[in-house]
Amino acid sequence: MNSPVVAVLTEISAGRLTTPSRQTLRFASKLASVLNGTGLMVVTPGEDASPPSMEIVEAGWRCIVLSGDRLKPYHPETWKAVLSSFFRETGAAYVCIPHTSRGWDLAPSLAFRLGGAMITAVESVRREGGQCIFTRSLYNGRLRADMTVKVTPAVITVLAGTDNDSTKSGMQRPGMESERLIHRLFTKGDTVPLSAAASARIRPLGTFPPQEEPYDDLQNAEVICSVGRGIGRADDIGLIHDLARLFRKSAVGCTRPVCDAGWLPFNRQIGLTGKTVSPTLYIACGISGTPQHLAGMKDARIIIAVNRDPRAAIFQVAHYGVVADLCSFLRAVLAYRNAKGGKK
Amino acid sequence: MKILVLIKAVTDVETPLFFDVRRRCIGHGVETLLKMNYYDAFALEEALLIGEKIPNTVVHALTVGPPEADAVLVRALETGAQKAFHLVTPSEVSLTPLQTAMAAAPHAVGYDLVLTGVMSEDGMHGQTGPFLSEVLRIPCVTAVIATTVETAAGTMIVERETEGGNREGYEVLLPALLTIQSGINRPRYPTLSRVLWARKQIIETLPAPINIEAPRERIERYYRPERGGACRFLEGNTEEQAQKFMEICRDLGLVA
Repeated sequence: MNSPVVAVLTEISAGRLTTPSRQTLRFASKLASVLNGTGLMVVTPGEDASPPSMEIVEAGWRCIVLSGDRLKPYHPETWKAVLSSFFRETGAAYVCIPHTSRGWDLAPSLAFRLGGAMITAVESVRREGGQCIFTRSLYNGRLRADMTVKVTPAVITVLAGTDNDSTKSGMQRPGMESERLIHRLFTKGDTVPLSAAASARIRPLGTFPPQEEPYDDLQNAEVICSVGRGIGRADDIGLIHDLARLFRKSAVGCTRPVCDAGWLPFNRQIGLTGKTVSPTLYIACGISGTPQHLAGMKDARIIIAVNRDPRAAIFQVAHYGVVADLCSFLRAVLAYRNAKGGKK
Repeated sequence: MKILVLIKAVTDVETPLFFDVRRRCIGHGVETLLKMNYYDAFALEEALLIGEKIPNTVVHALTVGPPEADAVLVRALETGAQKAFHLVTPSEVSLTPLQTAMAAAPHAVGYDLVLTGVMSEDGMHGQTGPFLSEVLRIPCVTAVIATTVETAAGTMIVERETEGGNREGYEVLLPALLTIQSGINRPRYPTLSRVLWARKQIIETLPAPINIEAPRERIERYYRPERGGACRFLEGNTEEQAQKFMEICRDLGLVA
């Protein structure tokens, strides 16, 4: 039996693979083909995961369900112990994990315990000059880096959906030869019950909902006017609300630093640790465009970005750009609209 | 309680970035400003808040970085840390997160709590904290958004942030390492008296051991992302830009 080259750790929510997990599977199948690898092993820990595992097996990949009471609920110490020994045993050369709150909690420790390399928030992978090149962003999105690993195993967290050449149609099927191999060996996902020494050092206390009222307008809005640190001060956020009132079905969102500063509540945050939105129009005001923020809004149909820095990362995803002082621009828009006699 | 805050000096967002194509590293020009990593400022503030609640708490700050990084340690002292340590790296060397963790580890032993930001603004790896917890063999919780010390039990109750604003609660036995998410608190500004006091403090300085671990990853090249070829910039003065903007919105049929 071939040792799988690439393993993927997936997350299940409401009985289905999460979107970041699907995107990580797409990334991993690309990685496997870059490596001319034959194996993709999909691991779903902590769940009774029969429906998602059948979905994966039907796509042609080997799926391993890690079940057991000790794996529920998520427990950092137990999962790190179980998964590091599992991956060590199965000898995966690459372990791809979605870049989610669970992913970044687990991944570095797994890399350390496997004695391997670690790359965080990888956006794409390609083959170049005989090497496997992983691309990620740094400096709040102002720079990109191409990286390679010098040792394996390598743990990679995948920043879902920022890979411009990911095939939206679904996971790549394995090559013909490996497909025959996999179908001969398995007809359903293997279930591997694992016992783990319960960790006495961390005790889970449960999950709690957000402290704030939900703000559903963001998900339902046609137009989102979003504000970043570039607004400069809380007092000027009124201009963003004024802008939003120019549109039907609009809402005001923001980036995380605006919430951190207390200028808007956390229920307005759009991004990796906030909401993901896909409005018809997203107007990014004074937003630099860090990968964490882009992860929450890059699927908007039309993106217009306003920023005084022409090099701001947001302009890489925007359809239209305005290089201007934000407050002057907003006042000019409102003045133009008022002069036209429209509603304020 | 003894708390150590691991702080990184990062390039200020306004600073121009230079990269040395040959040596594949980010250089620091004369105009480079270093400041405290955004997320570490929240970690420092959390340590100070704990110190205000728990008597006999000391807060120390440690940075692994080039000589110029001592500016952030001065800032830490000005803000309220009692002592600061600097493990100095040569200016042209950039340590990986694992190398940083291994360099810092011997100096992090003996603390009840080690705090650091969830990631740095420059590298954005989110690895140094968890690696340090592995080297120290202490439990680690990342992206912490609330903390409470349970002195009698020798534990902390923490909440970590997950998707959608949800929180996972944990009780953690000390000593432990927490990586701190932004928004957990509002970092304070130094007081004048503290600034004057900090000037008189000596930062313990040692060379960082840079060869204890070979890098396991390599940066092949840095590059600036393409200025989105697909992005159409609206030209003209502000009024003209505003007009074109409204025309686009009207054409999309979205204006009220």
